[in-house]
Amino acid sequence: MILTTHNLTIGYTKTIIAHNLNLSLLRGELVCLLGPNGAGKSTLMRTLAAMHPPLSGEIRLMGQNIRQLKHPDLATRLSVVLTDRPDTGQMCGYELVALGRHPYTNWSGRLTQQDQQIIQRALALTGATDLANQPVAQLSDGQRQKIMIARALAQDTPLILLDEPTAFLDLPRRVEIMRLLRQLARQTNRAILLSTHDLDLALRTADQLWLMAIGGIIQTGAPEDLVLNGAFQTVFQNDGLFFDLDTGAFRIHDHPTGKISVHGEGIRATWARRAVERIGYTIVDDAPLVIEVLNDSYKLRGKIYKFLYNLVKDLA
Amino acid sequence: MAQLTTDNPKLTSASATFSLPGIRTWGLFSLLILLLLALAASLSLGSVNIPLKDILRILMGQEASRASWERIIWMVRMPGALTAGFAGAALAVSGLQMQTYFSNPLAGPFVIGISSGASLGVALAVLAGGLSLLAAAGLAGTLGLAAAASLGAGFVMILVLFTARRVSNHLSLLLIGVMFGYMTSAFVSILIYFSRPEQIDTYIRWGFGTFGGVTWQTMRVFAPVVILGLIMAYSQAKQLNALILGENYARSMGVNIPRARFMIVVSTALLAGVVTAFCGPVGFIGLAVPHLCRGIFHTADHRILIPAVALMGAVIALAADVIASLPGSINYTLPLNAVTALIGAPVVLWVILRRKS
Repeated sequence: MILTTHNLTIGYTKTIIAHNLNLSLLRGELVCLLGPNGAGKSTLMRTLAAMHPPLSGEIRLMGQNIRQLKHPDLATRLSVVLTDRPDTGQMCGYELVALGRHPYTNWSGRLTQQDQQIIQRALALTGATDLANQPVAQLSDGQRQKIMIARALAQDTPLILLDEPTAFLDLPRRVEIMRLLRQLARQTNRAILLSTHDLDLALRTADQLWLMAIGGIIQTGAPEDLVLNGAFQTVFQNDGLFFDLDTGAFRIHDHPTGKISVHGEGIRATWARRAVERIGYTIVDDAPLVIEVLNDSYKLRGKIYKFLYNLVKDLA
Repeated sequence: MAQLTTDNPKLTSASATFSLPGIRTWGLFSLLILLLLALAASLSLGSVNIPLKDILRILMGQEASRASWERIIWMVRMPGALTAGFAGAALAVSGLQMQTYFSNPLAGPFVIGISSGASLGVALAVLAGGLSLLAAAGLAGTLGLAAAASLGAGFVMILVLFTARRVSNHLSLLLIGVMFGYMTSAFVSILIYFSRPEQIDTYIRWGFGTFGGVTWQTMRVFAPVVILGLIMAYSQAKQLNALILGENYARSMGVNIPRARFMIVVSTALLAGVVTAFCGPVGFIGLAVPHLCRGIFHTADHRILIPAVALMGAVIALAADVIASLPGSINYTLPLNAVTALIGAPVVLWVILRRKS
């Protein structure tokens, strides 16, 4: 058990965000904190990172209350990746990762042979070795995030907290970072907790989800269990969003415009269904309105369409 | 093939950055040589032409061809050169600390209100008759001005820092410094409006800045304070490195923020304060030199930057002093601040234009 909270209440002097939280993080696990905006994810992350005081209860890190740990001791147990984007000037990747050794070096910050090995290993584990000599200011968002993760690794702490590490990244980079973090949790046997808005990615990569609803109630468990017991749907479902249990994905639904049947099979039929769902139709088996999926076209009301674009236009 | 040959040197030179710290040691060594050259230039140039041979003899403690030359070297040029060197190092290092601490490339040693406070103190002394009060307390002439500048600088700095405690972000703190600057200059304008021309003249001369005002006697205060400030700054090199990532990251890496902040602000106050008190508000060195050194050494590491910036600051200050005295007569030296601005402003422009691209 790396981190445990005991009847933890978080918030600010005037507003309680969540109370009586009893959470735990295990070695080797990647945990994603999910929740709608305003549920208090940031406050929870900041409280766990000892950057904000809890209202009551306690957080134990490796068995010790974090409020009683001195900053240098805390720094050897907990490292963070924040959303801050500091201006790093002329600093190169290696120098930034080397900052992670701060809690271990002497007053002058001199790196020992061992420090240098740990830095090289952190760079290798994150696939950032090529970035070591480049100025951080010139890296892309994804590369920069890898360097920041390598810095946290070099700090050599059993727990790493990441605040929205995939924000501002494009989809391939988000997938890459999430896979990297899951891999790191296993390989280096650390606990990694991250907050994210990427529901789909979190569902596919996390060992455990912490689902935070508005009002501060947190449900924890494997992603699949939380989907099956309906927790996932309740937390996220609202007027415009609908979780499809069959596909495991969210659907956006507007006010229903009508019912329609799509006759046909294969990929083209799947995407024809998505096209009409997008403009608010409900798919049923026996509607009077029918789309026939042909080899290289679609047929609706006797008319042949080469592209779904025109078909959807006529329907809408 | 052409691809390979262009790629390879880049790779080797980049990896050399870590395996061969020698390159940076050589850089510091070259700066040291440059400093000695600048010192030599500063000692040998002036209104009286003294041959280099005689200067060396005088420095070795031997007899020079003319006895008056000894006096000129020991009593005038030597203190002036040392003052320029110490002041340049002090201003440049305090500028570097402020730029890192505020994560703002355009911060300088005076962002915490030191020069505006000093100018207020001197204005009160010179224009509002405070000088006679100080003289009555045994502080006449340069020492009186230094006392007035220190009092003013200390007072406004405390006001700025006190106000700054109520804001959390650095941008606001910078703005607070600027606003206090406006307020003090407003006060000074009012004082000037009601003053006699000869009083105004004294005030304006102080504002030009000079390295000529420190005697061997006052050097006993000036040099130790600068050295203490520089040692304090270097002791925070590791913390300054962490602070590049901002206070949140620095704290997460175990930096004791209140202590680091205290050390950085006190060392800046000592360095910039003592220079302003004795030499006037010497501008641009603190702002420009850190950028010059980052560009030359290609690093953000304060363990290298602090000594580099100190040496470079001393070199630039000596060069500025030499240039200012080029007209060649005691009565016709250029205002020091005009020279530092002419050197410094292009450097700052270069930084801004380079950041754009």
